[in-house]
Amino acid sequence: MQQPLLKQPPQFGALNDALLTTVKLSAALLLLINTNYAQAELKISGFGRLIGGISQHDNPYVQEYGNDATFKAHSLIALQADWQFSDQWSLTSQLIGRLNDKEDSGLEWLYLSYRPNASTHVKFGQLRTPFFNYSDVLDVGYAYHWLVPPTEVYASHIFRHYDGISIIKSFDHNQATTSVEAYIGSFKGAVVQDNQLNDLDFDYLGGFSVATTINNLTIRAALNAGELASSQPRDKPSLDQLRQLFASKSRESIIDDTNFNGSFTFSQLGFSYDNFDYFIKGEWTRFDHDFDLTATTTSIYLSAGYQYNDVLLHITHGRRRDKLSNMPNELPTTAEFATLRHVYQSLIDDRVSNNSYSMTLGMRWDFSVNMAFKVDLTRINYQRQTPMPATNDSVLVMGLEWVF
Amino acid sequence: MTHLRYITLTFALLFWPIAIFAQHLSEEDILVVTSVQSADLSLLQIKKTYLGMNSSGLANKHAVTLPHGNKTRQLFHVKVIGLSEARVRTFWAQMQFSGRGKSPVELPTVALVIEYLITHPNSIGYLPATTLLPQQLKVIYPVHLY
Repeated sequence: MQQPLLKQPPQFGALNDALLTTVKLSAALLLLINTNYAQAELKISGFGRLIGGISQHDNPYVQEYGNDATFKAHSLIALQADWQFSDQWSLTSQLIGRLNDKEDSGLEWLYLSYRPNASTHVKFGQLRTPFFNYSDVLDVGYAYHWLVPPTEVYASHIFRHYDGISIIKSFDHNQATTSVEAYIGSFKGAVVQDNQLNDLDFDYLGGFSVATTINNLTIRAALNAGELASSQPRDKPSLDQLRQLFASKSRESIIDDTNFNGSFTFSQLGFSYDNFDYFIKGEWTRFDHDFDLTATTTSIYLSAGYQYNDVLLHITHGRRRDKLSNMPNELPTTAEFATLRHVYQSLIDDRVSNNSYSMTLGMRWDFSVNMAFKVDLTRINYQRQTPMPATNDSVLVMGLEWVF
Repeated sequence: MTHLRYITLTFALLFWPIAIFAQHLSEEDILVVTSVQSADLSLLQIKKTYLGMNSSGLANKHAVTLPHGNKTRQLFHVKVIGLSEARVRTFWAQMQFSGRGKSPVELPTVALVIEYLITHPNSIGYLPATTLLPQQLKVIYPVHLY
């Protein structure tokens, strides 16, 4: 009997649509039944980014900027609507239009928010995946000091939102305020990995995080885990035929090696120390998984800044270390397997490893209320990388950030 | 003569705290105020309210602020929040667009802040120390510039 080539489609998959539908229906219901509808408070706000950049070399595997200057990579405009129905209930939606056609425009957030008391916050709907310190405001460049958060940590292939539920509980203890968040949900959509679009489908994902603030110091730790049902690069042929070929040759162990499904964990530690005119902050992340064709990643950045009037000068060091699993080509060297062996070997050789470290010098000038001009100059060293050779590169990015 | 001495002494005992308070308040000092119906807040709780930190002791509290460029606002950010004006605005953008909290309600004048605080008992605000406070409001934290 032939082995199944891929895991069964996720039974959890309908969760996405069901949750969004539930949120939309609930919102409509709230609007209809709320006796204070006329008093429901609607607040419209938004943000924008106009960012241009250029790099010394074209290196499509690791960054969005090349020899030709472009404004496409990170420029966007967004509108956020917050409806406050009562002290406890509100609905938030965020629409984003991006110049980058490799990333989705449209609905970024849509969630119902319930605050039964001051220390509890429950959200249902399409939410930001809380992987990083700045996950919630990744598109709001005005809310942080860089133009582009360190790519070693804030890798583009980390999907940014999920459909599910999140519960945040806060505790006070003397000088400390601690916030604990737990979430569960699913994700189905496209992400950019190594400058290529990948369609991902997760059975489920979930996690929790703890953030404690004591005076000017905030420390955050997070652990996320999930089960990937499938991943398929859009511009590459499916490996299904190859797997069928392996199956016909009774090489089931190799099928497992070429599958893009299984579990993953994403761990994060972060800190931030904010004083009157300076700050120091950093994050460490680790991405572990079962996928042999993709590297596991450990990343870190440290950043410090000094504010003088409306000008902020900052420096950031980022580092990323990828590790590819040992994947020997165990196919026989006989003539029968020659072609298959060659194809399999090319799969092994084409695996991408993005070891790098970088140094960024940046300036932010808040020249007007709710507007800032920024410049970042990054020097990157790609230490050991397949299939690209080791190289150095410099990237200059500048642009405007605003909120309204 | 004895009566006059007693009257003087009584006045001195009754009003010396006000006299000292008035002596230490300058035009550049600030009063953090709220409705008389609201509970008092510590300096830390005031800071948390303005930075939108979730806190179990701040049920539905929200902050009111004066506009950008206002001198009292600048002093409040330095002395109470402990961050420069530009970085406070960065924090507020994080609050607004992360869903973690609401940025403070910004009102253009001191008179409108007073009116808002009276009509929204769960709000807190700050005013120049020379402001004549209506009886519906109370000082929860005086901020001295020096």
